[in-house]
Amino acid sequence: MKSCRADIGTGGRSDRSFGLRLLDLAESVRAGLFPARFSVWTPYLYLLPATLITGILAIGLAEMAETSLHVLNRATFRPDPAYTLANYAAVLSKPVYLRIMLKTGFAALLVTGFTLLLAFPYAYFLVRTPHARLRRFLLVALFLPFLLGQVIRAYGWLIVLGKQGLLNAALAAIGLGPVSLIYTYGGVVLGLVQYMLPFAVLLLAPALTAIPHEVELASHGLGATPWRTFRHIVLPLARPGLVAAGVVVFTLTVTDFAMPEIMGGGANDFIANAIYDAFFQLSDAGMGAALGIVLTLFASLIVALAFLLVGVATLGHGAQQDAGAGR
Amino acid sequence: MPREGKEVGVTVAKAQGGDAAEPMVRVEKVSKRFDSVLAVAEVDFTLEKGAFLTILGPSGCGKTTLLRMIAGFIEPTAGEIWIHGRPVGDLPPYRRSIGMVFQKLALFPHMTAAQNIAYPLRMRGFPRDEIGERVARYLRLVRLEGLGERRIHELSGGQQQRVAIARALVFEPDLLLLDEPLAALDRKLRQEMQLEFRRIQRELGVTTINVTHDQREALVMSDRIMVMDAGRVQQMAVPETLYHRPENRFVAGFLGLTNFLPGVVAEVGAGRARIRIGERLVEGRMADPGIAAGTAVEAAVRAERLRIFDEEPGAGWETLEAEILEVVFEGERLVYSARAETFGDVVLRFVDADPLRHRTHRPGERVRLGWRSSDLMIFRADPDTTRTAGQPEREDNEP
Repeated sequence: MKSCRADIGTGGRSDRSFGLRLLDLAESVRAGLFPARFSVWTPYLYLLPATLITGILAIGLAEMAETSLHVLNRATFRPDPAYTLANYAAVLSKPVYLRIMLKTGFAALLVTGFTLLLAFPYAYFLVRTPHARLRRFLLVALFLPFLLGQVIRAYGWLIVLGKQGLLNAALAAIGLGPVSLIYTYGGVVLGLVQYMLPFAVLLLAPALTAIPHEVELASHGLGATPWRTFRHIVLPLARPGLVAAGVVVFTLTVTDFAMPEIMGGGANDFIANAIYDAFFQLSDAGMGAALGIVLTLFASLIVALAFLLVGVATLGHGAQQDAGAGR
Repeated sequence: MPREGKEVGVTVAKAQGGDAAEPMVRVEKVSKRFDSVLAVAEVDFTLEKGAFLTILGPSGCGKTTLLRMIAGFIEPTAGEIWIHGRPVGDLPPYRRSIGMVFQKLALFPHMTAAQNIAYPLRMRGFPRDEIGERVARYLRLVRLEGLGERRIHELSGGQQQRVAIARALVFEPDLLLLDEPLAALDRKLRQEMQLEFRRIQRELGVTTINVTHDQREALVMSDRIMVMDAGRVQQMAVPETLYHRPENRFVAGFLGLTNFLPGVVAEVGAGRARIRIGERLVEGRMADPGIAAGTAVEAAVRAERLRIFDEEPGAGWETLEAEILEVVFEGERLVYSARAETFGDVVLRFVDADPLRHRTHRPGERVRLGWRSSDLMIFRADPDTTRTAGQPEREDNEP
């Protein structure tokens, strides 16, 4: 190593020492970044970047919490300096906000249910098909809309389902009246299910891959019909994937903005839309922040509840109780 | 479709119900073609009730495909399979009365050992009391008393094997199928479990079909062995017959440590022939019938049938001079390789099964080797079966 350094610094004496020092510096940086031996604390060092990024988010959240404690002074259109819980009281007492929250939560339940129902067979087929070409087709079909982004897809739905859309044109051709599917609650749910499907399939596929095919064959051989094999073997073993997919779809739905904005047509707002309105239509930052905090608490509560019910361990490996196997 | 099959099965079973000689399994001209590959070719056999059959063969010989067709996981391209007098062609696996133990065991990881064993009973609608009683009885049978509440990953490899076999047997199926469940175990545990499977099988008297590529396992466990190669049955017989009287070169090479000597038939007698190997003319037993003079053959002699003689032995023995090339110490026995010049420099391997009573010969020493002429088996030299793949393990020492 030494001789190598000396060879590089071929100039004058001061040049050489400068080169050596530079190399020493590089060496110490390298040793710091890639130590030959880990001290006990080194692994924690690697957590730092992620912690920093999440930490900034936490600072933002604290800032938002602070904002939420000031009501808007309607005379000056500036936040009142006095601290108050009036915004939260308004959120929890005004029927318009309660309705929005209930609608959002119910939509999230519907979307999660329908998405898992559709994603499960898709993921199962994707994992189990012996034909590589079919598997590739299924993956591409899954990713194609995934790549388009939510706004473009929502507009796509408008074209298909709109008053003069493809669906109504087809219905008119067979003599059926126009149906309004856009700007409805159902339309928002439909759009969201389609948007969430790839997420759910991608989260379910690894969980299903982890179930050996022989286990299903064994179940058949032991006298279980395909349906009972699904109920007693596949479903319990797929639970980690179902929980992960369910939690992700639920939280993404409950915090969604674009789909209710475009497909809902202003009449089917979610909490995120109400937050947007509070900030940018009413300029009531305090109310917007209060809604945001409530939404964050609500989503966190649901996730915590889901993990509490099925156990965080399910995300590791499926060592959980099987409800269907009690004797 | 299954309903239809069942009805047919019921009528046939009734029609043949009185026939006590009806075998437990009958396989008739069963073939399976995967695209262009004929995995199983017109396999025919029957198996009587209570028998233990092992299907033995190298990997890719079609033995697992055949087993899975009997289980109902794969549909035959042609032929018919009967279990307990019923044609099962239209029955899905869960309607056939079979217990199967898979290579990777396929235990249900989200259940305890007892729940695994109870599973087939629950699926078959057994009453609750009987399920509890039977699970306890079968846990005892496989010597897992007190471990029923353990989860699968809390059990050792051998204990998991026991759960798998209990699960396959607890509903008292007509037929037990073993798809190489012992292959993944280490040697010692494997030998222990071979005897254990055999004990349980004898105790219950359940008809069993085992699949393996391990000749020792086949010889130890089976009442009958069926050797398969390239999708075809090569020979089906009791272990002793299969070992001592192989019907073709493949079977002779697949079981045991066998020397093959290429030669040409000189003279044919009744069940015997004289063949020319190198510059020698030796007598042997015709294992393949109908070989005429002038045919290219391969003579086979088992390594344990060759012996070293200090003096010329009596009548009925053939001898030749050979030079020791190598001695391999295997603990309880020595395995020698020796070159026989008069046999056209063929290398012979032979075994000293009792090395403490004999002097160990060193490489370079010249010895007189002898064998009984009835121990020399003469096979037709089939270009298809003279490949080395027929002889697993130990083959690598050969120059």
